[in-house]
Amino acid sequence: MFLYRWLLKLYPTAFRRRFGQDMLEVFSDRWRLARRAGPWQTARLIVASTTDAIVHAVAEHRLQRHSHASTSRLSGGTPVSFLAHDVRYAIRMFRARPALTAAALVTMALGIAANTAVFAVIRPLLLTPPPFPEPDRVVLVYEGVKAKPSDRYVANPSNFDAWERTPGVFSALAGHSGWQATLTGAGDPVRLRMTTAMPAIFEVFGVRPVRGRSFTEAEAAARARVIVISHALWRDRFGADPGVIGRLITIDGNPWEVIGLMPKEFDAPFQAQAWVPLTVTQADRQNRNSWFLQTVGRLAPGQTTEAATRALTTAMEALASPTSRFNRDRVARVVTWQDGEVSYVRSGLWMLQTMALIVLVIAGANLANLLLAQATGRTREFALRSAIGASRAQIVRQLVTEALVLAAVGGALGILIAVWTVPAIAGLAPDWLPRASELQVAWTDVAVSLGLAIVAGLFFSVLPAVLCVRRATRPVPVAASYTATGTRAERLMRSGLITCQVALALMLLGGAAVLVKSFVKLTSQPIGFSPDHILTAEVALPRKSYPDAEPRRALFTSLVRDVGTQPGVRSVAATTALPFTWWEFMTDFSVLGDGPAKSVDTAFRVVSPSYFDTLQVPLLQGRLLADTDTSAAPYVAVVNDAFARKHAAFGRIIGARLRDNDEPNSPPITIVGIVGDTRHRSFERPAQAELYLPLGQHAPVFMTLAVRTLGRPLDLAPQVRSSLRALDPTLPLNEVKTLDFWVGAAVAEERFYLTLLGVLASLAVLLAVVGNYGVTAYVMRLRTREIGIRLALGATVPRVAGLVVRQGLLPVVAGVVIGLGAVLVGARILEDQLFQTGARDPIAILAATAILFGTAAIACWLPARRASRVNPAIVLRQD
Amino acid sequence: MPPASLTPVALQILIALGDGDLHGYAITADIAERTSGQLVIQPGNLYRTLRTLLDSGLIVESDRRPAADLDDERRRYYRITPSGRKAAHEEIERLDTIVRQARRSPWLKSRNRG
Repeated sequence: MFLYRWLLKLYPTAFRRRFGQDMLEVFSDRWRLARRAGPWQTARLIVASTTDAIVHAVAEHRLQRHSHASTSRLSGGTPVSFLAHDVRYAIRMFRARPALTAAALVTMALGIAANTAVFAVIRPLLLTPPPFPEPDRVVLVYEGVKAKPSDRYVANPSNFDAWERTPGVFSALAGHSGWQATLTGAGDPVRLRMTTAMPAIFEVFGVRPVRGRSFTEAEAAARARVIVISHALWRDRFGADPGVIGRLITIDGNPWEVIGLMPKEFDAPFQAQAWVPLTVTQADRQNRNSWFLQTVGRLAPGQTTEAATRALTTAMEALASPTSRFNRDRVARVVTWQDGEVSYVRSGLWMLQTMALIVLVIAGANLANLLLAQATGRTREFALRSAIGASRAQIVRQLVTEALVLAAVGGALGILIAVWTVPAIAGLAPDWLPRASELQVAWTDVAVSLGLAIVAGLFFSVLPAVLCVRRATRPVPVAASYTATGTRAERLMRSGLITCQVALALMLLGGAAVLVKSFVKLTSQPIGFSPDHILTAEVALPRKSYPDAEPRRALFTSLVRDVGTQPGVRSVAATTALPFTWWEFMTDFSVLGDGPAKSVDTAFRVVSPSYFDTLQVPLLQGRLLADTDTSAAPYVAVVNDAFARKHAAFGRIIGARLRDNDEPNSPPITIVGIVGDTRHRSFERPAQAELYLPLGQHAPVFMTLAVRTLGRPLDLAPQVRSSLRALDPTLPLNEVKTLDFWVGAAVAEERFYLTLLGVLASLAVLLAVVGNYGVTAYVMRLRTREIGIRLALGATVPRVAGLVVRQGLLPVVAGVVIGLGAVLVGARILEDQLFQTGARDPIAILAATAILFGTAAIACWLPARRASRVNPAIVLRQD
Repeated sequence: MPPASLTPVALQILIALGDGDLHGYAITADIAERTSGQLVIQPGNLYRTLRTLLDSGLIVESDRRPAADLDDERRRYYRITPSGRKAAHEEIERLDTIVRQARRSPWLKSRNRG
């Protein structure tokens, strides 16, 4: 809207006074309609009305001049009419040179598009304040180990107690922890992401429910079933029911009373959908054996994170004693909410923005070169204008206006491109980009981008304008056609720009190449199972309706059997911890041998016997688990190769016996087989020692199904759901995904950076090469006459082409050298993102150099070849 | 001084005002509707044409306001003058003549048959 108001300034004052307000009204009516109709209509309106405003402003000015023919147009005009005049002239110039203009427009559009898109993605994360007041005072408090400054651990309750009693540090402090449970009776059953928190948590964030109230200490102490819900949950599950307060809802089979509704944006911590009271008894507060409290606090006014860290560490030291390991070498860590939440992505995101700016600089250099080329060709025009009385300033102003028009229009195009690409980027975004699905180009982004386009336009046009005006206003301008390629300063500037572009492009391409190599290396790590064609879904049994082991086991066993009979299913397995799904369970086993029992902390998963077949995990020794391994049979387990290697000291693995220390009365378990390793969390981390226990002998409350299908996995979701419903209609099927999705999610961050950086690097190379081509082609045209003379005097075509290519490549070589230096020096910033690849990986950097140099050579060679094929007779006859 | 011939946009505006006084946005909406969205007039074009029509006396600014509940007092309404109606009729007549004469052209006839 402000933009349109600005456009109106182009009109003559009288016309604007008379109709400006009405025009704005009409525009705003259409604007509202278009906004409702969608981004495409909006974009069309912007383009149509901008063009309309400019065209008619120009026409109106012309009309006025005809009617007041006596007034001189250079001395009598207002600044606005100067601008309109220059713009009109600029448009005329562009019409006369459509190819150059199009090239400049596309160049600017791509540069601005890259910046707008990246900025729109990172702005919500880095620049939008969190949805609660005075976010600077909200901190996350962790325990840490003195020697490892980057490690953070959740807190022990007695430490929390000590922190809470430290005077003067916090105005509020709250412990919380996550809880997932199933909501039934409000649409399909659904898994809720909840926070169990001390009542002070709302005070910490400084946010109150918009309806109802938050829970109290008394309710927390009494373990009252009261719940505060998020705005999103209220809207999606309760139809924004105004009478929701006081309603009873069913979570894991128990009734909970809704007592509060939080404001719209609020979902801290961890995108919570609901908050319930956390009960920490006095006895709990003495507990020194478990660590489970996430802690958030609001610092007292004037308090700093450093001072708080010192005070809390002192409080922890007071609890330590020489006889116990508790709190030995432990410290408190206090980080601001903003740092804690986004610090680990901040550097990466700023890196992307920097790369986007580099692309814009390359684009700007193209713009400068085009202007310079254009201006060189227009020497006579400027000489003439200056001869009939135009001042230098007027000519410079004219050239700068031309650049600004190009930059603004190119910028607008770029913003449109960004509007289309941002949703695609959002689709790639890993989980940590909050509300990624809602990402879009906001008005802030548009304003920033247009500003950026204009600054770039100014920056890159002033020097060429000054240079070429200086030339045009020198005494004997008519000889210009003989100093065909321009003055020394112009040639230097042209080469300098190409050198810069090539150097910058090589920096981006080199970085991208190193990342590609690292990514390929990472994703080609053997994960030990085959993730394709597998549908995954989670089933959790509420303890209330499944208190006993046998019904739980029966449900999962029947579910595996029933899904297996569905058409299109190859095999089905159930497990408590499917690789790459972030479920992981550890327990303490003792190996029962000849000597004293040795305890080993080991990851374990309960699996249906079909697990190994379904995931295609190979058997190395012994036997797999079988349907006959039931609670009536001797208890058995299968281990992975990493377990066998790690515990080789125990002697024979197969036949070794284990006991679960958490359940000392359970029968001993005999290891009957060794299977291949599977990576569990990420491509990077090698497989850990793991134990597989048969479903027939254990009864988990939670399992993930893995269904190997013949066709597309997700097509089978309805059948899996109906199998579950037939067994128990109250159970939800959660997280219906594919195993490929989970495995892909493990490298989502890498893929995100790689894709964006790859696109930016390709843009950089494309723009640099196009610029190089454009300049060479242009210089060739100016040198046609010289080349004709050379050929006429007996030079051969290859020699002439060689000369031209050599001269064209000189700035490219300089750019490559500078760029290589920059890559080698700047590679450090990539190091955090790399896997088993040096930041200065020679092969990757060499490949990048070869690609860039090769394309640049082609860009020089094409026009050179064309130029050297001129017919000297024809060329010399011209003029 | 009436113009020699009306521009297509000017003619459309006169036709739109033929049914009653309208403000700027209503004019563009009426034209867009009547031409099934083929002619969407942007503000710059609209007000420049309105200015020309005002200057040549084919329309005037209206002092009559529509019914109070439909009124939007910020806006200026325009009314067609008798000479505006006459100019519109003449222009339509002129265009019609051109079209009728054109249809009689043998070239067009053969096109139509072929």
